[in-house]
Amino acid sequence: MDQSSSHEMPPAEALGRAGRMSELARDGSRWFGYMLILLGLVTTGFFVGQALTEGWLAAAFAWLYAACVAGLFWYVNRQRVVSRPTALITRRVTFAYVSLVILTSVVNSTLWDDGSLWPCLVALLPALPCWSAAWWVLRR
Amino acid sequence: MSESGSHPRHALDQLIHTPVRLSIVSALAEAEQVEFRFLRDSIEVSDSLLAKHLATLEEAEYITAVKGHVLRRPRTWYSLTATGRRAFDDYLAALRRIVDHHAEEERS
Repeated sequence: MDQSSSHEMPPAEALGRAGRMSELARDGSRWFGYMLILLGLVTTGFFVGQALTEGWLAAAFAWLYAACVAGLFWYVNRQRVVSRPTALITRRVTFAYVSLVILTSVVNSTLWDDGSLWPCLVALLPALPCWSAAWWVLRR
Repeated sequence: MSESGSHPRHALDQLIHTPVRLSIVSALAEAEQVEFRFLRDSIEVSDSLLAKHLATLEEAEYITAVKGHVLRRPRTWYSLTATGRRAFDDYLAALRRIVDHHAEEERS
């Protein structure tokens, strides 16, 4: 790329350059959507694992979930572009996700009888804000 | 920042109308916040040259910088201000007028 500030740019070239940079910034900000899809999958996997297993296997699911969340936190901190939609919805999605994780934990540990498949369905709840936000971010 | 005259090119904001600064402003117009390294790697310029152009835009109050730390490493994030966004919208509109003007001239 030309580094001279006095370089005379033809208008068509300037428009092309602006378009390319916009595209790069847009591509660089898609991480939030992918991260939310993964978070939804990991969370659902965790709750399904908790519902269908017990003992060391349930503990393994818990550790795996914790490791994935830590990995996602590390991934988020490595990102260099924050899109406008991301900045707009991060707090709301975080609040909805944390609330639904707590609700799912409480409901799954108190309401259902052993062998019920309801915990697996309820396990989808915390993923819903993640996936809907991901859809909203990625379709833009 | 613009020159006077009737040709659309006079409406071009000369502060934005350089390859590096146009690239910076275009990226910032698309995103809420962009980190220094992303700009450096995407525009393919040296740290010092990029810092010089960022300082020019900051001086004109087109962009703002936020310094912070991510996992103990220093990071600088840039955003477009309302003034910068307006200037960039006007700049793009002027560019399109010039391109249209040129196309009309070629047709006639």
